[in-house]
Amino acid sequence: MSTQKYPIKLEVNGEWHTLQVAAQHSLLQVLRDQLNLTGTKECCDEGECGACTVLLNGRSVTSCLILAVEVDGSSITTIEGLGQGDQLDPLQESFLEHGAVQCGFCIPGIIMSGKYLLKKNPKPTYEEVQEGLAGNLCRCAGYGQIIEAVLSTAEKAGEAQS
Amino acid sequence: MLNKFDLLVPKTLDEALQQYAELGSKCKIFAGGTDVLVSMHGGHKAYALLMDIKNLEELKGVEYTPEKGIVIGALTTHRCLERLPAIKEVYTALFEGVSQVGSVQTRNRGTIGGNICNAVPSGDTLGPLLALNASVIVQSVKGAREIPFGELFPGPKKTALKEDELLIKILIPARLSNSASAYTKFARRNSMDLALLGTATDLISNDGKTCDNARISLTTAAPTIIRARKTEEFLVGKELTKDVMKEAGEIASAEAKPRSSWRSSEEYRREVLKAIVPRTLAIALDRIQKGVNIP
Repeated sequence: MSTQKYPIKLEVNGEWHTLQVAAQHSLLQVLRDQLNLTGTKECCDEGECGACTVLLNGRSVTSCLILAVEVDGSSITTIEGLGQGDQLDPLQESFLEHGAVQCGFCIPGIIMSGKYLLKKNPKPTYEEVQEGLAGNLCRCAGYGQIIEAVLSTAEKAGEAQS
Repeated sequence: MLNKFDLLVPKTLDEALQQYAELGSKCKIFAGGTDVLVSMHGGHKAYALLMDIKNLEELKGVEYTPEKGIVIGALTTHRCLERLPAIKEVYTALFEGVSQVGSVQTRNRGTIGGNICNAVPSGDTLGPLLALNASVIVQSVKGAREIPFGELFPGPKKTALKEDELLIKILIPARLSNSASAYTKFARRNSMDLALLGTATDLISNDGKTCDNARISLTTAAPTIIRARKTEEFLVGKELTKDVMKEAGEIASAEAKPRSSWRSSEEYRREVLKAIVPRTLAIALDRIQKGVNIP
């Protein structure tokens, strides 16, 4: 089998990187091992748990099921790309306020799914949040607070606009 | 972690077909990767050579006209279809299929062409496409041909595509104004689960009471997706009362060939069919009465 490496360019959290990757390297591996962005978690490695969720050109995807070579030239947002310096993203703040973080391992992926959900549907119902986060497992099973945190962020954004 | 493999990334359809003609089964086609890469994780399947067909423009795009129907490029993602008004409002059974595949992340990446080529009897788009009388266009270096959905699956995890043929697009005929469709997926949970059973119905009723024609498909009820032909024949010309629909469920349950697996037993699946076939018929009938699936 060839040990060929492919040159790719990725825009990650607003910054362009030129990288050399092998065909079998997943986007998740490249984010964690080459770019040291370890906020995106590796868990099931087969698209079941959602811990590795990132935004790829604005869409939520499980980065373990994407080859790095496939996304040459793409824009990626990871959990590290949400806040501004010490300023957390409103959705992150809301997770803290609602005690939605227990062990925390699933939370980066859940927040990325939450960001995508709120972008597509700024005023989701409880059921729509459940559906939007259905690809993310939390084994502490603190789903109630997680859903409340997403709903409350949507409400606050709505109030700020009105 | 994935084992090492080589990768082909053709830029044009001609290039892809040429390479595929030479390599055939030595090369595994992949698009969204939500089935192929999963099967490769942990060394479960070891493909030495993958062909990424995501760049092929000929496999992209969706065209809908009420008169001609809809043409869907094989690379169209489930999520893209889920968000198209024509799918939700006109081809509602397909909407109910694509919107129940995996999770949002799976649907953002997985393609309808991939769901078809994976050819599992539980595929969420397959039953609706069979009921809606879809066909596919496949192409090789020798040319293109059309395969009706009813002839597409000769066995479990098998398609009628030849070794050098790629799936290019999916065609679904135009809709009649006196028709409506529905798909019911029966699973343990709403997301990230395979259908224990599924049924899709495409119903025509001119007076909103009588069945003028019905196409009913069953998923996970046999080694491949199947039409419930005896059930369809029974329904034609009958008024769709509760008792008639109940009897249709019993006929469908008897003509299905479900197997026992760790997911559920044959007996259980037959009981579930008795419930979901009438339920899906009733939903389609209700949609005709309300006039909601008008093209």
